[in-house]
Amino acid sequence: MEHIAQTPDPVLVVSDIHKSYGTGAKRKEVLKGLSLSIPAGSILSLLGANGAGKTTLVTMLSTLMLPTSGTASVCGYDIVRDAKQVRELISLTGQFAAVDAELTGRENLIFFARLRGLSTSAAKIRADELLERFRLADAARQLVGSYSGGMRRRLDIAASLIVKPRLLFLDEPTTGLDPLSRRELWDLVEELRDDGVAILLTTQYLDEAERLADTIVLLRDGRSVLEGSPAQVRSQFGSQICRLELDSHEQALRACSDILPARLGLPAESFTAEGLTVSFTAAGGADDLTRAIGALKDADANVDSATLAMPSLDDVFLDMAFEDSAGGGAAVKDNQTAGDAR
Amino acid sequence: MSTTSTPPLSGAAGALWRNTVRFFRNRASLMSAFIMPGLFMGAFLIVFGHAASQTGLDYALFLLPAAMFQAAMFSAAASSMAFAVDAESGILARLRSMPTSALAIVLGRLGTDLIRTVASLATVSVLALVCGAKPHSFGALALAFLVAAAISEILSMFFGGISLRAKHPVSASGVIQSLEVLVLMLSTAFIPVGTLPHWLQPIVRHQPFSPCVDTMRNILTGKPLGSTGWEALAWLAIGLCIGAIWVTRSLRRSK
Repeated sequence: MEHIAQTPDPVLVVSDIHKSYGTGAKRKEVLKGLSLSIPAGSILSLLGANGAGKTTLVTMLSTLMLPTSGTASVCGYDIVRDAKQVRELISLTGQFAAVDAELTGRENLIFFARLRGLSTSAAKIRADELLERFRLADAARQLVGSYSGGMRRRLDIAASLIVKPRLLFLDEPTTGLDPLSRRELWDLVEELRDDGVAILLTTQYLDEAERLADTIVLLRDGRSVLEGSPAQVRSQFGSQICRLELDSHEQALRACSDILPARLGLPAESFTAEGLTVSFTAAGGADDLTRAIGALKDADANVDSATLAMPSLDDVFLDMAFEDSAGGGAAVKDNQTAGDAR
Repeated sequence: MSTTSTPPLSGAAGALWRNTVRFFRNRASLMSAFIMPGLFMGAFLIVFGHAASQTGLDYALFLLPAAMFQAAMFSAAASSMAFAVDAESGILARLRSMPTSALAIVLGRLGTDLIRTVASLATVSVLALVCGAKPHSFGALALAFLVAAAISEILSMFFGGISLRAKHPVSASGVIQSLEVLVLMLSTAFIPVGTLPHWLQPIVRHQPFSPCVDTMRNILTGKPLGSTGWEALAWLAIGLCIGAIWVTRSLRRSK
């Protein structure tokens, strides 16, 4: 008998969800028909400018607010009709660490554990386990008010994991953290993903989305305008971009206005100088890179670094996330060759 | 892996424990519960006590219901502040996204308020007795105690409802804390109403705090409760209904 590989049912399914506030003239539509799904053991990152609807979506999916229309379900349970069952399966880690500063770390976890249904003794055991895992055991009996930002965040996430959720919401989890804490948190999130937890992550940090996301959904004006893995999103977006780093800003400006347009036969507007870096869309790929380096060498301009890469998420985001931005979606390329060659 | 939904009572026990730990750690809370009402009463006694005793009035007994109401009121305002802090810190949102019933949250809150109120009431009662107050009977004192405790719970719901509905719960709570003292001063609690201008007297006599204080005063001095008692009951019923509706609505899912 033929075995057909079954894709397990997704943990989260969102179907054409709408949300608007107010009535009549003051009606404001925040989400205008969004659909997405997250399978187990996968991270979906929601990107978008402030006001695009990310927090609204998380608020609705965590059963704190009703949608105006559309449906969503977690492991088959509808968020409107079966809210109680949904709450058993989710954990919400909001934008600001929702832990009590006037209790100790251990007391915080015991509190949430008891509210989650554990007996007092089970709560204490679980609290100690989590404190150990999140390296908070030494600070367990200090008031949370004295914790650093990274420690508070770790405690916050520990509180979300008292009972392992099927779906975890992480709303801007590394905002305000130092670089080391950020990386520690990323490792942690990946561990959770490998453990089978489905994760919905919202973030403003594109390096975070790049590192963590299996799927990216870019929201603009309440709708999804781009979807795919980070690599897919970047390659869908446009041709390769060539970036050259020179010794000084003046050289960069000279390169943009004279040296490169002349050699590459492109108008000066195609080149952008930001600080020490010159960038331009390299339709001819590696050839353009070689000619550019050659031109600069001939003009005695020192090239400190040269890269040829698909547009970064920064490029995608800046172009697509804002309604009045230059590309507004128009930069998605026509020719398919680069995509096919992948 | 999944746990069964938390029964409200054990959830409430967890909430009660946490709220109580917080109360005993918070110096401002302890001050307002144990020291402030006694301070007011003590101040009035010192300033007016001698003059009042000249007229044969049991002034400490006259002040006791005012101090009891004040204790109840401070407790309720502190409770609404605690709610507000939880709302703004995101803890309330986390609790609402957990399979915890709203009832557990409310019971945990009211339970701690009761503990605080009882401790506060005990303090002022002892102070009044030490200063020579002679309530009508021990039963009367106990009854006034119960009435004050009930008032405190109802006010907690009412103030809690106000702050949870507000856009900035902590600010709203702060405003409540300031305004309540003003309203109490403009009631029959401390000042003799007869000395006020005629047009002001009915306003002061019938504003919500006054019948409550007067009823407790009547209980303590053994007088019949009469229409004042009914008035107090009416105000309390209104406060309870509105408070319960507002609090429940804010803990439920918003549209």
